[in-house]
Amino acid sequence: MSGAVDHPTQCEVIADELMELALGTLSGRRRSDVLDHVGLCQLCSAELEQLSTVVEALQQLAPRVQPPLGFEARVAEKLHAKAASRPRRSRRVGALIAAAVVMLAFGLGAVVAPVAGNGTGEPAEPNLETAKFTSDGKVIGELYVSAGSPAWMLVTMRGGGWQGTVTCKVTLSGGQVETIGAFEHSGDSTWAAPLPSTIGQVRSAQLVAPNGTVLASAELEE
Amino acid sequence: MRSSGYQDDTSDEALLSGMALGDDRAGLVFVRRYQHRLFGLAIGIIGDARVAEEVTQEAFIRIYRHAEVFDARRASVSAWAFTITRNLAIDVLRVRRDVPTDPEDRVFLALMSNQGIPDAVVTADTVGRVRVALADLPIEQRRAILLAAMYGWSAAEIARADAIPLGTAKSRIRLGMAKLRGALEVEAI
Repeated sequence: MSGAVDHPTQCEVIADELMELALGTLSGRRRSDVLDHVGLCQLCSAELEQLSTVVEALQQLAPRVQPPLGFEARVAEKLHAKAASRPRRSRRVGALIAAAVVMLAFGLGAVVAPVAGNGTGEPAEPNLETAKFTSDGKVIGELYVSAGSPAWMLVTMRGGGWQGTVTCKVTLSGGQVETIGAFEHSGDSTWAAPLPSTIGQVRSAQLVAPNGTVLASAELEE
Repeated sequence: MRSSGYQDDTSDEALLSGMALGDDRAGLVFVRRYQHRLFGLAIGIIGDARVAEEVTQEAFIRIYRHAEVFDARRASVSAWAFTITRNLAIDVLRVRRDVPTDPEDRVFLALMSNQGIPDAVVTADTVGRVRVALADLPIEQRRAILLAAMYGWSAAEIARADAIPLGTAKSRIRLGMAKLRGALEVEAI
């Protein structure tokens, strides 16, 4: 850690600019310099977080207003066009990893290290374990587990002959079964969740209906 | 809405994960959740419904397109969404006008007037506390804070518009922000 003890002058010098950064009015080289300092200084990082919370709250003071008629449909059309234009590979690899990054960051906050780029504009691939969810021998989805710190899992489920609540359980290397969470399934689902840091090594996952029926299971390789 | 696992109570972060996966249905749930708030911010800054709609649409497209590079260590999803919308709105204003907009609009006046804010305002604790603390600020500090936070004015632009020294503008922002930040610290105790 650095901060006031190690470089008080720099912290004092950027105090006003820290506010401007939070307000979104700092630009160019100074923005870059202040961000560099914040990345190294826990005190300024915490201060920026507080200031940003204030600015976020200020922006949310604007009253809610009903958009013009048809707004939602027009946005939906554009989003659908964007989704359709995405390369399949991007959805299957880069976006999955990106989704995991989102989950990582949300699940356990500041302990997350940024995912390094690989020089191609795509995020680098973290150490993922993957398996197929099968039901009666038929593949109905995929399981992604990152055993790192923090750990997380992501489930995709297509069809599977079930609509409604699906509970996701995992079996650990010691044989214990843990319930991770549940989601509503209706045809084509993607669901992700952080795993408790104390959970241990995941060996398999089960998708379970409310009546206890195992809809599908996925086994990770030893 | 119930489609593909996304529901009205699906968390923002789960929706963003879905968007990062290229699922526009997650985006649609997100649009339904945020359209009133983001459009409210855009029209508050711009004042023109047609342009505000264009800005809000573009904001949702950008949120969808950049879901995979969103950095949750820097901001919440809602803060990110508001910031994207605000920045787009400010960019549009600056293209349309050579000088920063004169924010004498309904939103600005309501927030400046120290009167009650419309009922539809988000009432989360943090927002509520900031709202109360904002109302308690001296009017010149309140104006400087609002011009910067909602309209993206720099201290130099505020100084120019209000015919005050740059140091005074910075001081008003600093003092005002310190008081608002203090309101959050009280909350945390």
